Amino acid sequence: MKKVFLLILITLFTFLFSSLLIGQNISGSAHDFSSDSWNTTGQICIVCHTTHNSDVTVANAPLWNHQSTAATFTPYSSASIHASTGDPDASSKLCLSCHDGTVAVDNFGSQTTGTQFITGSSLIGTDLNDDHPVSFTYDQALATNDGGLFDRLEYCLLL
Amino acid sequence: MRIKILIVFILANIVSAQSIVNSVHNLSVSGSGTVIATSEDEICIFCHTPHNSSPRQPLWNRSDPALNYTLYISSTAQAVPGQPSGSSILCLSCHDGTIALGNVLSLPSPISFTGGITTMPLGDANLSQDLSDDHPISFIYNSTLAGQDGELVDPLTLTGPVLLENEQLQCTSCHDAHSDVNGNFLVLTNQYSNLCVTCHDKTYWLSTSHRNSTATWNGTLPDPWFHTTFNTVAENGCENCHDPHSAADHERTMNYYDEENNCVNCHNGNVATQDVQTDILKPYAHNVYGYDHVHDPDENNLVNLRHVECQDCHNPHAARNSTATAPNANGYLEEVKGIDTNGNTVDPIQYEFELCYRCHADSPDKPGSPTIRQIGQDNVRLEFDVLNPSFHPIEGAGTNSNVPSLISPLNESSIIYCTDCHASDGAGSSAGPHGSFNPHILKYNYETADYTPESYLAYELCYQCHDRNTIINENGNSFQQDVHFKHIVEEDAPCNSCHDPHGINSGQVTTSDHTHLINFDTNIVFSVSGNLQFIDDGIFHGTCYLRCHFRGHNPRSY
Repeated sequence: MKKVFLLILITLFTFLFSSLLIGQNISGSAHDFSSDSWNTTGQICIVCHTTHNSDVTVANAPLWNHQSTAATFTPYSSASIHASTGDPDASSKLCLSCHDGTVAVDNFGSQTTGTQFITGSSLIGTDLNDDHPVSFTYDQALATNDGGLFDRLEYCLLL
Repeated sequence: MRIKILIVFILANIVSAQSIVNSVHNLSVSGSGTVIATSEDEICIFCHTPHNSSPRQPLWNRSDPALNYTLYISSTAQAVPGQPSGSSILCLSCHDGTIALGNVLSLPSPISFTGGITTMPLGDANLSQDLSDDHPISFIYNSTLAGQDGELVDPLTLTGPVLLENEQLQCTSCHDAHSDVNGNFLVLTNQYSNLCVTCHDKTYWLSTSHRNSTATWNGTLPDPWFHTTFNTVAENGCENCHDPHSAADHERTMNYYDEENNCVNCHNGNVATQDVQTDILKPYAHNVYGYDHVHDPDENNLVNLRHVECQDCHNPHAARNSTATAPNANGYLEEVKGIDTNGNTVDPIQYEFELCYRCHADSPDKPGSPTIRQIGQDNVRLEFDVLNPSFHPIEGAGTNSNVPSLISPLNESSIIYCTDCHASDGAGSSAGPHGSFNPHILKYNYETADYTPESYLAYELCYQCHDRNTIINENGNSFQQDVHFKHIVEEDAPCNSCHDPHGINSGQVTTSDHTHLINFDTNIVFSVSGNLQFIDDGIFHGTCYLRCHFRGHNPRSY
């Protein structure tokens, strides 16, 4: 039994490390705002993260440095869905703090009067009814209930 | 150890997943079908997008097709299909063949496919914009409809896997685009018509041979089951005759356009034991090949426009292999409509003759009588009336209590079928009046021409029931000698010259002249001094006024 769990752990770590080694990092990506004129610091991480006095509006936010959205969202709904979708929370809420279009991208640090709003295909908006659902509990019970979803054990093995 | 087994099981489950990945709905470059993208490796993208979907559910990534479809229509359907709606539109955004498979909302240019494929290639998966040859969709299926139709289950009992969408039947009621475990992405296997009978509750279906027969195909073309993988009649069930998509005959989605081909491609000796097709192709037949789409299952019991199809006499949803005693209809004639002895409609028939009366009684377009007689009558319902002075015992026992020629077990109280005389000829042929080398679809030879030398074969039909030796015994009583032997053997007169084999309607006679089926063929028997008459003088005695073979009886008694 222990051997089995060890096998799973090794598999997971192998995946994670190989991902880091071959993966692209944020530098140079669309999320690298270090060269944008509105980011006078020239830093990459600062638009989202800070080392001290981080924002805790969203529980367990990872050293958050960006204004959080206060918008009211319309969640995804469907006659065939078994998941219960509510207001976005956790990391999804942090993503939407730029991608819902209500908070300026440059509202980080103490800035609240930014002017850089997301447009185009990156703009999700506050109407999440045309987007894949987020912020719902995805557990074995849901997988069983739905019948067309992997449960967590299967999912781990699939990695 | 147990965990190991569990993991092996789970892995195997994933690898052989009955998911979209291994189905032809995987249009990505990793797909196993013939219609796949050249390089796109996302599977879901052809239908779904995580953002900015339209329609929003189910995160749809394709444009809607134009709603100008030709809809299904049928004289026997109570459902009213509208232009496709709900999920059916989504399916048709590929399957009507009008929109390129690679046109997705989330990409600025279409995904390219191997072989230069753009829209759905022609074939089974391309339904076209003509939906009149497909099972109807996008109609309200509620308890009211089930009540009106009478042969549909109440949809309130549908708890899956067949489900409706807002009370409407849609493509998704039968198909699950994500799972091909049952073939054709069906939500339930249609082996033994399991899927069809979820909704269709055809009267008598449970007992019909078309549901229960284990007969197999002998491999001689044509393949009667060209659109299934099943191997017996029972397994094919509804699909023995019906094709739910792109059906050759649109109305009622039949496998073949010509009605009879839906039947004869099994009833030709290749599946069913009896070769009905060979009988129907004989020179005298209920020629189902002679009519196309004149018959309608919704037509009146009384046939106004002359035609014949297998379905006029047989109900393929009910027919079964079972015998009966005259005059009761047997299982092959289960649940068919007819006309009763009083000319009223009956549905279903109880007696076999009620089926024949649909066309051969009061029908305005019925075939005429082949023999010109002193009392003419084409309406066989009137000829067989039990109140007639004489008739062959079809509706009830005959009037003559002295018929010594009858061969046991027949006797004076016996009742026979129309099909005892009118039936396919030859040993081993199919029962019933399908076809014969004998005129009038007679089961045996029956000569009607004057000056026919008597032989067993000449009147083979009559001699099946009436013993030849008794009829023409030259050493018998005076009746046998003077009447039958003299006329049939010595004068070569056919039985038909004096006897009317059906009967003489009581409404056309005022005397007892027409007992013993006496109704002279006026092309053979003529009047004498203006008088053509038979007078019944009691048992084995009579008097005739007639002229025949250049001799006059004016009168002559026996």
